Amino acid sequence: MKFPTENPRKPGNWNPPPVPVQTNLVPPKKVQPGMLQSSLVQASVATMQNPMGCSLPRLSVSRPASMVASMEAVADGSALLTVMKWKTVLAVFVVVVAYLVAGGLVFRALEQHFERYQKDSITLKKAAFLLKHPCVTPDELEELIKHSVDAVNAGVSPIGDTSYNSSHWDLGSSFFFAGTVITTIGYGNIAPSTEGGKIFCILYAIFGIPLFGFLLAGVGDQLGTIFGKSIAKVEKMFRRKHNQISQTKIRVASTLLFILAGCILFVTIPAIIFKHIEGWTGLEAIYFVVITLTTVGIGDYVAGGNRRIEYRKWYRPLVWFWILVGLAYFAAVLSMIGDWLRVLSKKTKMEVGEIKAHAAEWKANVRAELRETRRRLSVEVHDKLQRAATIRSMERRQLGFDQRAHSLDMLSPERRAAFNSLDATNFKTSSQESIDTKLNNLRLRVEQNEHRRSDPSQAYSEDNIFNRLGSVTKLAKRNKNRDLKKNILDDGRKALDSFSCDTPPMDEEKKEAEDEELEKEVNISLTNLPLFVESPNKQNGFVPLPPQTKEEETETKLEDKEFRLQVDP
Amino acid sequence: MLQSLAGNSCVRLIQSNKSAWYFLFLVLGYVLYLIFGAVVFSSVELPYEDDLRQQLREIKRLFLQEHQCLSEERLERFLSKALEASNYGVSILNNASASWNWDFTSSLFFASTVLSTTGYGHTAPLSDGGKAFCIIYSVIGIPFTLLFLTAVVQRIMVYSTWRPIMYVHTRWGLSKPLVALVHATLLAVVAVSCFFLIPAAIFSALEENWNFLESFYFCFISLSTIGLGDYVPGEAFNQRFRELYKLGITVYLLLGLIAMLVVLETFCELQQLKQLRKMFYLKKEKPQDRLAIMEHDHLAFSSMPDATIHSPHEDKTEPFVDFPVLTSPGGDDPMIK
Repeated sequence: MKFPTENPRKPGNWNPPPVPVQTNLVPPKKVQPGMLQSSLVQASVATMQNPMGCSLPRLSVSRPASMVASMEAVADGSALLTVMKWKTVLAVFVVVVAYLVAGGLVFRALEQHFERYQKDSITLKKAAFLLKHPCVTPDELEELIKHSVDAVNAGVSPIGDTSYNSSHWDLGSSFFFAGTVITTIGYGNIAPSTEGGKIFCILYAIFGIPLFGFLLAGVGDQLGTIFGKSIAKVEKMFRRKHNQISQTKIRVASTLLFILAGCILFVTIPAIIFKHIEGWTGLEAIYFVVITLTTVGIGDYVAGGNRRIEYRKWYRPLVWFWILVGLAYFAAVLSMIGDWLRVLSKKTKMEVGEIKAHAAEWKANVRAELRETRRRLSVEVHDKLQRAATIRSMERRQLGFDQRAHSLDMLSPERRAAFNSLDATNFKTSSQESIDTKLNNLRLRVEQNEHRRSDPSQAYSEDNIFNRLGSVTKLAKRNKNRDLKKNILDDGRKALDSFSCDTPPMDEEKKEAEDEELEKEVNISLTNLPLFVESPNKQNGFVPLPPQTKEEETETKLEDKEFRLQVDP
Repeated sequence: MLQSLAGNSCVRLIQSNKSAWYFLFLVLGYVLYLIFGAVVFSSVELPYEDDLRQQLREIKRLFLQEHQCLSEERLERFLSKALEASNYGVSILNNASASWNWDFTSSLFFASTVLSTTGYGHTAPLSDGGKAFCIIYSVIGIPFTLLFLTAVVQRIMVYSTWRPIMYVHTRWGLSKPLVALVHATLLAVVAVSCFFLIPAAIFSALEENWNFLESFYFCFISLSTIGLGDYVPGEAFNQRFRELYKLGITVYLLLGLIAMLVVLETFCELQQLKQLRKMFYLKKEKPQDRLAIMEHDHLAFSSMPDATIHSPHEDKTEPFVDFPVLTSPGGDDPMIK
């Protein structure tokens, strides 16, 4: 009964780990830190990749797109600028001319009838005055003068022959009048007298003055560009000649020169022409030119307004064109003078300083707002990416825990295998030492027996033989390999042969015996314990057979356990 | 500490009031300039007018004496002289001696019409000195007038246009273009009624020979600075309070001109009209385009450091990409087992 109880204990100790199990266990050790690191790395990779994947395409796509769009806008703008310059100016010019022609026609239609009526009435009054010549009284004279003045205000002159056909409201004069209205010069030598004429004049001016403003702006811009280019050329000339002169002086001098040239071109030359054609004095001509170009238009002197002179057909249109170009030039000069006045006055300097400071603050605020918006966007994106990364890392950590649990399950057989392997090595070393020591013991006891030939010595020797066989059986049980078993049996036989031959002892054997006295005592104590346990069960006749049967049983059990171990993983 | 705070507050008050003081100086300068012109015109033109008037009286007296021996030639001579005088603004009707064309208020009126470029022409300088002075006076005075009007209009725009629009925009939540359009329309209606219709009614009541249409016509021709001069108030021979009337007209013209400019500026700032103006004022947009380009360049420059920051991340990510490929099958093996 005790024997089967002992067997399950010993097989537990005898279980060596199979080789494939070891091969399976070794990779987990290597993989586990790799897995942990990989999970952490994957989390970090996720945190790294997500902002890269999400933010980069936005940044790369949006900014180059904006740059391309801005470049296209600039190109389109420049193209439009080049195209619109001439087209817009020509279009506005054509519209203004058409507007003037239409206005002239309307004024003629409205005013010419009234003019004829006025002329007829003044003629009749003159005839009546002549008939009543002898009986003229102061009252009649007053009435005559009043009517004459009214006639003149209406644009009719009673002086001279009435045979001439000149009229204030023919097409040329009407055109000229319309031009003076649109340009807000308003000489006043001609004016509408009928209600229809007055109403039309109001509406005509409301729409015509802004239209003329556009034309004037276009012409002024072109003149400005011409001045700018010419001033630049003059600056280059001066720089080549005189390098020491400062740039500011050169600019001022060149600007003054071009103002002088413009005055000569638009003021002096026309004044000379008017003096020659109209019969005015020099001062009167210059007076007319300045009053006209500043759009004051007092009307005491009007080019083309003298009826005694026969003007050519192209004279009045040419005067109007001169007025157009001269107004543009004069407006530029006036604006330039205005700018100089602003520069000179302290008030404008303060305003300019305030404007610059305000502009600088505005720019700074705009830039700060843009930066803040960018930072906010980047922060939001980063937060979202971090949240996604944390979620992924949590998921992977859960997977990592599962792997660790599995690895712990795997560790237990590993530890068992390691423990078993250590036990096996220990057993091997201990078995070899025990065999050598026991052989020496046998030899020593044989020598003692030879020296002592008494009966108790024989009985003692028999007891020694039984003890030795028991130890041999134990060794056989412990050793699994058949080769080891064969070696043990051979040793046993040699021992028996030596007992029967009564060989003499050797010096070497004595030395070994002396050195291993302590080991003998330990082995004896170990061997004695199982001997006492097994002695009542064993019989003298069946000593060699039971160990073989036990060995076979243990082998079968070990094989079963091996299969179980293989199945478990 | 108190002294420094007091000093700072004083400096701030002075700085804040500097613009106001300069503005007052500008107004005073403009008024003085007008008075100066009026004085000069009056002193130069008045003697000449007096001489011309005496000549006309003698001519008239001679005409009456030679009444019986009158002939056509003499009549035409008389008429030509009379009409020439009327062209110069000299009247030979009864009670003509009561009216003067070159007294102070009339001269002030004339100067204001010259500087505002209205130029009625009802009176004109006759002597060479007057003409020369008129040239110099207008060349210097007109830019000065433009500066004055611009400054006034800018200050009025703050209270009449920008603040109401912002108030309505913030209070009622309407869109700015819509609010600006409605405000401009209302402002135009108010300006037309205050500076055209009401003055027209007043002129038609005061002037004997004018009806409402003629008065309105005068107001329009004046405020648009056309100044034909066919209708000029205060020229009747029996006008009461003539000097005060002239002065009032001068003030009316100046205020009306400012109001017209305010309305025009308000309409010009509408987005609809700005788009229309863009078609014509192309060159002025170039600096704006340049500013936009500079802003884009700034944006591009600021984007560079972000790219440099991202690049090492890309390098770091590359070696890590291989690990999951290797580790995933390794991890699967124990799971299969």
